[in-house]
Amino acid sequence: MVKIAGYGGKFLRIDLTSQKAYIDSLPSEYYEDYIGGRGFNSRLLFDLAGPVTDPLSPEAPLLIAPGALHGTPVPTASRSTATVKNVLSGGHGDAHGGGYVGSELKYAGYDVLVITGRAEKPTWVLINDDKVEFHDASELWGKKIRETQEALKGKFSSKKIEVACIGPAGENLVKYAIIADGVATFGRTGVGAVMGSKNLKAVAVYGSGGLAIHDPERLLKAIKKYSEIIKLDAYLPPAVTYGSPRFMWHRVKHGIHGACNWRLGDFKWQQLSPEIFREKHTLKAASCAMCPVRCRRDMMIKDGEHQGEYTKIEWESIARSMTMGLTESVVVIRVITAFNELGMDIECGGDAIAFAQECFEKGILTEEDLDGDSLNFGDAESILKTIYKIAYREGIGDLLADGCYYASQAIGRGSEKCAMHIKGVGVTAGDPRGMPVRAVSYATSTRGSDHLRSNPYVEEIATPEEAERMFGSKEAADLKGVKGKGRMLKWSEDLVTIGDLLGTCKWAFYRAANMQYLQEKGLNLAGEFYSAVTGRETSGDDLMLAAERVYNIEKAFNVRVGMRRKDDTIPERFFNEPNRGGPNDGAIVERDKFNIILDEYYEARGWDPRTSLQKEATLERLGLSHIKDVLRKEEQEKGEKLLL
Amino acid sequence: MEVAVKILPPADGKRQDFKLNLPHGSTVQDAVDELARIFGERKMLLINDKKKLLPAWKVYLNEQLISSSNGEYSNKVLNEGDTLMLLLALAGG
Ligand code: SF4
Repeated sequence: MVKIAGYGGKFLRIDLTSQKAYIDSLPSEYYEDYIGGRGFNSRLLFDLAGPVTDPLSPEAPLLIAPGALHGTPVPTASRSTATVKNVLSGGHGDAHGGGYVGSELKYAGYDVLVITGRAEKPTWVLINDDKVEFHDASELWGKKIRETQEALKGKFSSKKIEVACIGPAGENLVKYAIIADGVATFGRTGVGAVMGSKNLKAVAVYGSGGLAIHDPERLLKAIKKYSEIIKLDAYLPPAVTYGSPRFMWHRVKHGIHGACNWRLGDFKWQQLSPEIFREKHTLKAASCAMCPVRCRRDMMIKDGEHQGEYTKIEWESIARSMTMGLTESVVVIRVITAFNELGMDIECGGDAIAFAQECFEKGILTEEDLDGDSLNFGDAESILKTIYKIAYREGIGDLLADGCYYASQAIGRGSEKCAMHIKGVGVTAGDPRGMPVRAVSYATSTRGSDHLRSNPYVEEIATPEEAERMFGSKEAADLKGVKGKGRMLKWSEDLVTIGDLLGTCKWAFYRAANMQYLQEKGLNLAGEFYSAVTGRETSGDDLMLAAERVYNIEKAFNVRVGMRRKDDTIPERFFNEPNRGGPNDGAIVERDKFNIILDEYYEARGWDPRTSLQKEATLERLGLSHIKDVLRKEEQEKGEKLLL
Repeated sequence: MEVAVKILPPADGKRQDFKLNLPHGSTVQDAVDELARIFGERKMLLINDKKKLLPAWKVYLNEQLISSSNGEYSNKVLNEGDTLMLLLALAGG
């Protein structure tokens, strides 16, 4: 067992085939090199899965690791990472959640949980300190998320137990199924499908231990400093008031709604405004563990036919509802409730449905293909019906359950142009047209399309002087600029990765209204918190180095499965079809700007701009000779270059 | 003269509408200075240590955008009845 304050110290491996559990320790250098959370998982995935591993096979691992500070009183340190071989891309995959399973794992003594194998019949697993029990889940199989969590928590009403579970979508191997963890979800890259493929309905955890804090006084001082900053950082007070639906204003300002399958920049958003959700639907503000910001919202339909339906809502689910053409809050709540309860990621699911809607509009899919139904943008009832068909893989739902990329490959007939994905993963966030670095940031994300892998929004908050000092050009502070943007992207990817290593929130730590607070929180205070908790003196720069290491491991994993520069791209629509309406009318992603930024990004990372392959010297500099050795060995077997 | 200011979303999470009484001939920067005075200890929500609005705020005068894509804003002279809107619409989630 590794003894460092703030950590559990142990590593739990569960094999569902043999129904056995093994308790071990991680190598001690992992703590220094990879810090925790996503860091531990990315390294372990690299070792445990190879290029030919089928993500849904028994041997493919599902890893869950709490961030290094999760379970401690550090503000917002609520995040854990679930990592798998990405069901949609075949490369690196992970998802991050702000629930409580991670902290219970830590209190039970574990820094990582690795699950392999496949149970013969539906199973749920109970972890209580060193005790691991395997239970029949036949009664739970088929239940939706809330029912499953209530049923399991009901068995232990006297104890504080936390449950991570899948819904029907995970059971039916929908490629973008989620794992729900109490108030939060591990949403992306098909983690729920991997769990379902193992016949694992749920993991329930309670730990009776505590976590040591090396220097409580230093920790308190840092907490005070953090609390002072968030009162002065204009990024956060609106989050407290409106929750994440306030991001609507950003989309309106730039005209980047991506409505109706990423075609419309102007859209009827007024009935989905932050005020509407606040005044008409907010049931309660909620928070992840240890968070003073409390941006989460439970939203309810308070009158009419669907009165009483409620679910948790965060901004991206509203955004993807607009991708499906929805304009009205009650309908949006019903749609999000369906996704949440069936256990599916609305990012990819929304893109899959919008894909089918556009195909229907263009006559590529007919009513016959759609089981006798129509599927128009904005038509709530057909959207809801399709969501259920996807979760249960019925009719057209079976095809759409594989995501828009695979569905388009199966359909052909020009449908490929309507499939909005990056590396097989549905496009997220705002329309990147007119903002080239955002487009590049979606493309370089190691887990496929993603806006949370970096913080390209730095371009909106840096002054020209800060941009020049940090990224070598004033242009990096200009939305239309190109120079310095690749360096900025690399910096922000590493910065944001720190949040996933420590388990701190990406909004509350890795977004800010100015550079001073972004660096103060994300680097200086992050290092201060980690040092105070663990007693290992660690600076923001040390954390950046660990983050860069982790990013490179994920990149190496993607290289092993065949991803190259050609895969670091965006859907052709963004290059060729101008955005329609609003302040961004007519904008495209200019291909030459995209490529200049991408070249600069690869240079900054120490990767080859032509192929995107990593350079041996880069891996050596980061102390990743093990990764280098694996790549060299596999390139001999394959007869193809994996490393420069 | 009276100038209306709308801050969206409200920087302090609460108040979004302000009426400023400014001398004739005041500029956008004068209005920013006055807002900073009103925000007092929390003026960093709006301005940096050079007393300029943070680049993250987009500035609209009578619904016309007067800040550029790198966050700099033109220091126009204000008139009675003008409406200044500050829009901090940062992305992130
Ligand atoms: S800011 Fe929101 S998402 Fe982040 S930890 Fe707090 S409640 Fe959770």
